Amino acid sequence: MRSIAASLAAITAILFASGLLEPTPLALLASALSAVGLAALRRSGVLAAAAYMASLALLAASPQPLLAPLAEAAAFLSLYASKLDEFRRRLSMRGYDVSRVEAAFSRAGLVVSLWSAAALAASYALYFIVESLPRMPAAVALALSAISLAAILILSLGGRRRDVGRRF
Amino acid sequence: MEAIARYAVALEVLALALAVFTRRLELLPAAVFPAALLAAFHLAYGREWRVSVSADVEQRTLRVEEPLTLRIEASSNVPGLLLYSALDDRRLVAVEPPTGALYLSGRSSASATALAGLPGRYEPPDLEWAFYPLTLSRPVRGRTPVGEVEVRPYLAKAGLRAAARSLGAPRAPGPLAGPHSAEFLEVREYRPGDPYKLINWKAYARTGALYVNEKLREGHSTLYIVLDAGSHCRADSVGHGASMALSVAHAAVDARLPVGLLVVPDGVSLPPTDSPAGLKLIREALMRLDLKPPRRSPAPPRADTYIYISCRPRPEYIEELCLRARRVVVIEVSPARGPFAEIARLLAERRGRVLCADKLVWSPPLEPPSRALARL
Repeated sequence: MRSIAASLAAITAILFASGLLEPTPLALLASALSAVGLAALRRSGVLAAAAYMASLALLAASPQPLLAPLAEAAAFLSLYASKLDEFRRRLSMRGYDVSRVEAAFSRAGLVVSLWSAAALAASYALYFIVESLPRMPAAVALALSAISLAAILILSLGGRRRDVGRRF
Repeated sequence: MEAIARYAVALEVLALALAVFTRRLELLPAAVFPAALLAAFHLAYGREWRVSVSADVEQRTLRVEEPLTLRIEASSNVPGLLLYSALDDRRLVAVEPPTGALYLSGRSSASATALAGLPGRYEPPDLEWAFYPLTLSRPVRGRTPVGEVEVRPYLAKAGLRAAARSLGAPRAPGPLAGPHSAEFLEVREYRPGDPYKLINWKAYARTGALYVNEKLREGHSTLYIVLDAGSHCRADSVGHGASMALSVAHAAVDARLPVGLLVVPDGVSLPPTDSPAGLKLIREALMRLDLKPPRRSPAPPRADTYIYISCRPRPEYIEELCLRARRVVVIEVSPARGPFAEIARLLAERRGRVLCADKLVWSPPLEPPSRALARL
């Protein structure tokens, strides 16, 4: 959890700094919302995710739409932190060693944060490749988005069911 | 993968809606990110998972109060969280929560520790584990056997003779020591006072020295140890009590004082003996203890002295013992651990009189058993 909180703090700091460097109302509001998300993380991951999603929507409409994926990644990490938190609460109610659970979950959060960073880097790389191509029409971007949506559906629906045991 | 996929789809729908609404190419990374993230999870977990967990006890033969350490080695070909439950056994003393968690990527290890409590040979419960992938979806479960361990009561040797003498003067073998039963124990050297009918004449013919056939003694002119092994006692109380019983028996045999054993509420009874073979029987009986639910304890045979060892001595039972013996000594075993152990020990009543019996409180492992023996 600490690693996810650190990642979210870093993202929030970037959004805040960019909002201050190019102060427009939407960008400032988006950075303020991301700060709210960071503050709400301790209380509720879902609330933090909602704040980051709102920040994403504002950034998309602002003059800095390239920062929007950062808010998107933050929203995902908030949702993941919420799930981890719920899981941790269940484990602590069952008498698990809280320090060991916290350490293990922190490592898990770190790995997921790194995977998110990798996915973010890949998506930015794809954008810059697409942009560097000559005369790229905007329709191509939408086509790529549609392809990515199809890929999501295929990956999420095509997953095999492995162990069908009761929940721990 | 379900929860992660739901999150990705939700974010993708939002990003696509924003891209369509704003018609900006800069939102392409936002539209690609959820798919890339899901692809990363899919690459990690698309293959078959292989998880193996092994458990190894570092020391399989140990004494009461010694730490029993279980080494857990786990490996998997995908990253995830391993939750485990180990050494969750009422016969052991927990020094840390029996359940734990471990981040697993490739090979990892952890350890679980408990203190040896109840003496005996037994197999602690299997190591139960569940491996959760980072998607926190359905886990893979398994059990790994731990194997048998042997916990022995310890023997306090310091000050044993003095302690034994303080129990009562040892008497010469004879009619006062009680009648000999038909149960053969061992062949030992003749001691003055041994009945002639017990002399082993064949051994005398072979060696020229007098030997007697030692047999178990019955009767009432003896010391009886009454050990409470009820399930209302913690395993370490019973373990330390058994160790104290063994030490007292050793002291008595050393001083040639016939000593018997009664385990309550189980009812296991060994007739009095002052021979090493009898002591061996006592040691074996102490290795077969089981925490049984408390019920009306049987009264031991008549004896000169009773030593009643319990975690919670019952007054009515002490009264019953007083009716059958000249002297009753009650040892209340009250283990003290943790940061407030010393305070708890100081607050406990160290020595006093309960009804007709002398009572002393013993707080192992804070107080060495030899000191408690010397206080008898």
